[in-house]
Amino acid sequence: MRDWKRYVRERLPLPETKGTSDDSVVEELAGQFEDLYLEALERGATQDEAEAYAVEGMGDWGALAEEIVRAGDVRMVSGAERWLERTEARARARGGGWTRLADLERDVRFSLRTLRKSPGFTLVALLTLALGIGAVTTIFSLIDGVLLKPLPYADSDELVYMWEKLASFENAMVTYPNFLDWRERNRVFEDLAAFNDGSINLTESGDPLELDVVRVSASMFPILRAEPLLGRTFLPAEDKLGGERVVVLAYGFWQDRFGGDPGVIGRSLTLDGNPYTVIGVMARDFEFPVRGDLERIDVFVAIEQFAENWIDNRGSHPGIAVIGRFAPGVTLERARQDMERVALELEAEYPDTNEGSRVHVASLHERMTRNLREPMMLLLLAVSLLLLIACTNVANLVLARGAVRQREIAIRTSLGANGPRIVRLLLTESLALWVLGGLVGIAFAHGATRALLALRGDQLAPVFQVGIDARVVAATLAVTLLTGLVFGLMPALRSLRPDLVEHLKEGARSSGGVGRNRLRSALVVVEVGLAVALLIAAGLTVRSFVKMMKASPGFDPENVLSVEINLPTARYPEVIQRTAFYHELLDRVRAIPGVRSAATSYVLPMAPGGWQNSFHVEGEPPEQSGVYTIAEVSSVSTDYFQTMGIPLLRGREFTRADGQDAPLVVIVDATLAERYWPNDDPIGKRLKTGDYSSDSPWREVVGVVGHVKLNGVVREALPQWYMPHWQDNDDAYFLTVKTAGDPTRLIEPIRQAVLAIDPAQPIAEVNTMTAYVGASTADGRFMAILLGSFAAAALLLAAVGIYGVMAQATAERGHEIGVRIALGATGGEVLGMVVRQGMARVILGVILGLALAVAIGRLMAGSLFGVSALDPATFVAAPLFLSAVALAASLVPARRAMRLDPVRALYLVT
Amino acid sequence: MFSSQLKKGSVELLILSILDDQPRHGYQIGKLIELRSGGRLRFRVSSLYPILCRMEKKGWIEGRWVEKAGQRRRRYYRLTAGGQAALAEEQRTWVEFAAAVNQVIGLSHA
Repeated sequence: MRDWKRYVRERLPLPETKGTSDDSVVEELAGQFEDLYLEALERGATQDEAEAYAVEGMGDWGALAEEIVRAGDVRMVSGAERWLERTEARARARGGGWTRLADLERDVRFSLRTLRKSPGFTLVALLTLALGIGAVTTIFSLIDGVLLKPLPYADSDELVYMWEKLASFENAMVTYPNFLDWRERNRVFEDLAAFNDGSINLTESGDPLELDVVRVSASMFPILRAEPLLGRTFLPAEDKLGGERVVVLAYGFWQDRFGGDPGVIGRSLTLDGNPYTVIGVMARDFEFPVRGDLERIDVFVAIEQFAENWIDNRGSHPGIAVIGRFAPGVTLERARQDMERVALELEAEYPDTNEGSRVHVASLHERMTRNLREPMMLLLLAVSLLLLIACTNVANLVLARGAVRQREIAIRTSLGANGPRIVRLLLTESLALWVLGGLVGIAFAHGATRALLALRGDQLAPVFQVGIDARVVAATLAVTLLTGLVFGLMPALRSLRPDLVEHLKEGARSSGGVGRNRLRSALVVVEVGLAVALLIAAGLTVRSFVKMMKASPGFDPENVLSVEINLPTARYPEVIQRTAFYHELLDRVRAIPGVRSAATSYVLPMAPGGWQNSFHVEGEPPEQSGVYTIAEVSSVSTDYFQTMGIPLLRGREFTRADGQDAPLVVIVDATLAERYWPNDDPIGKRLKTGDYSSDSPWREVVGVVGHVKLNGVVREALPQWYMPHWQDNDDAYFLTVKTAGDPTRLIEPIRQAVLAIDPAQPIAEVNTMTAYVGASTADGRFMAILLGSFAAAALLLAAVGIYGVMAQATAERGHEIGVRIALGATGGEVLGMVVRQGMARVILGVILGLALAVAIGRLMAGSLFGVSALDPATFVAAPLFLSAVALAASLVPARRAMRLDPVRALYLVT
Repeated sequence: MFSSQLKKGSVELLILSILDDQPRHGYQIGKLIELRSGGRLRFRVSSLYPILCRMEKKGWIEGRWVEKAGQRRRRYYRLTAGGQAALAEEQRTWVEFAAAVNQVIGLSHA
């Protein structure tokens, strides 16, 4: 017999069919020729006669091809399908085990074709899945980059972060002498390194510049296994008081300042007035693990060169933390035990300073992610719920389609396709849908991750590498296949059972069957439950954020500008020089038009830096020596409280008369006054820093001001007291300026005022107080935006799901409703019946959702501000809102049922 | 054979009628037209196939590959809802047209 396909292919001049092995146009035409040929054979014709009969009068092939093209039936076979077709043919030709692969490919090809044939269904299902999977992928990429991936240092699981625990203060920075003793006495670490951060002024040609600096022990880079790109890092001999002044540049600074010039090694930089020799440049991908308050790190210097004031002062905690690396085989537990031993030794040797003092040892990675773990897990939970809702919706869609395809499946079964074969086909169809959804979802997540980083990237230290990489894609595909398998198997298995008995019982030709409806109802219940839980979680977060926005920080940030001015000790060694500088600065700034008031302060609320100090109130010695009460301290100039809008409750502000030779005075905040003198007038009372019995002087309270939320509106702050700037003169101060209009317009005049006094003095940390306050609520806003959008998506999906199921169920009950109407049921009764049926499922779902929300609320409690995790308003409003949406969704089919013409309904169904 | 004289629209009416009761594949459609017309209407593959394509494009019929045990797969066409409506409309037009023609040529009276 002739190869009819080849016959057609050779003659039919369709460009699209050339080269494709199995095009359907060719196949169909060939089939018809073959039928004609066989028919002739049956009639008794010879082979040649039969062939002649089949091709008789075929006529013009070109015209046929033209007609076909015009009819537009040369279907767009996608590249994927064509590829599958080719490999399928190849696999089938090989035979044996390859046949299975060929079968799979045929199923996939068939699935793709089926999906393409119902574009509406496919589009809705794909978008739904892409939304769910995309959201999960986005959050997972965040979690993977931050929590799961190891830090970018060799054997990073051996790295630890250490800080101190004091008798009266849980988390304290490390004193330098303690660090030196830890380093010497421990038996578990390969080495330890101390570091703190700060700023250093670069003066060369051009405007002076304040650089962000990290001071590190010489052992730091070897511990991190970080090799410099150029030159070398610090030698132990350089990390000493009076050691040779050398500096290592960060890659970014080297690029910006020196254009990446490799000849920079050996050059000299003037930092804080001293010459430093550049000895090395770090690699581009090197990130120092802890950034602290720094925006970016410009240079590294050796820490001990700056230790003049702390090297033998065990009471001073100059912002130092310690990084270490385990010796081989050491565990965290063993390291903690060993450091406990060291702490006890030091306690015995230095009871004055080290009584009750211990060492915190944590894995570096854990320490860096401690504030991120909980919100990220909450987000993962939220997107998982969203994904489940999306999957439920699509499973519902597939089920509804299954009802329509019942006939196709019945035909297949009767044609000999067995159960497993049909399940496999339907499952392949679902999986194809899920995988396509997953791919679209990954593309979606690619954009979403970037948007997310833009929204809150500043919160993530650059050591975390967040993005859609192979790991994330693999995890996404795993989740996709798993959910596709679970949610695809459900309708596939359901299609296998035609519910024959129930069909008969029902008596009507319902296209679904009770079993299918029960499954779909169950899916709606689950979906509503998940949506309620997500809605409540989002509601709590949004309410918490609103509370944050409304909460007063204790000062008025409106129209206040702040800049940091760091006077280098090298050029301003004497207090009198620094005082003169600030006096002149304040005089000049106050004279700038548009300035309402100006002040200086050592600490600025919500800005980098801080100063906590122990103190005692006169007449209240501690029950046990070595126990301190800690307060937030600042030293501020005249007009500070007025400039910041902090209310003066009693007494007076500081004046210039409160100078070095004047009596020592302080201003306390309302919290401190309330705690120590609840029944007395605090004015005239006295307090001192340090030990009660120490010889530090008593300071007299001259005023009481309002409490300020120093650490942002969300976090509680310790009691506070203030010293006059002129009685505690440090070298780095914030200048704050209250302006009449837009405060940023005064940045340049202020810079000019500074340069007029000292042309080598830079200003830094230029910011408005509203920006600081905004940054302190950024986490809340981030969570509110994210959870809010997830909940909105969930609400939309749930509404669509409820509508779909209700519409289907109502349509299937058309016969019954027709009978009821024929028997005299009013429209209202029908409406009520349908809505009741729908809302019964919704109520079940709401109950499920409330239970789920209680569990989630428990996880969220820590991150909520001013809202209980069981906030009654949210727990009532969220289910009500969802029920209202569900009601609206079920009203549409209910009204359709109400208007049903009974005659038509009965006719249609029987 | 009258086939060549039939208007294209009339062929579509024939196909719609053939598919009214059950789905059929291309060869069957051709054979049934031949059979029901007592052999007077015959269509070549080359004329029938493009019409099927066009009708599918219009959404009147829907083709679907069906595999039967022991046979090669065939493309079965069936009427869609649109096809059903088109069939009713074409039938009405045809009856009116035939009546008008008969009236004109004097075979019947109004």
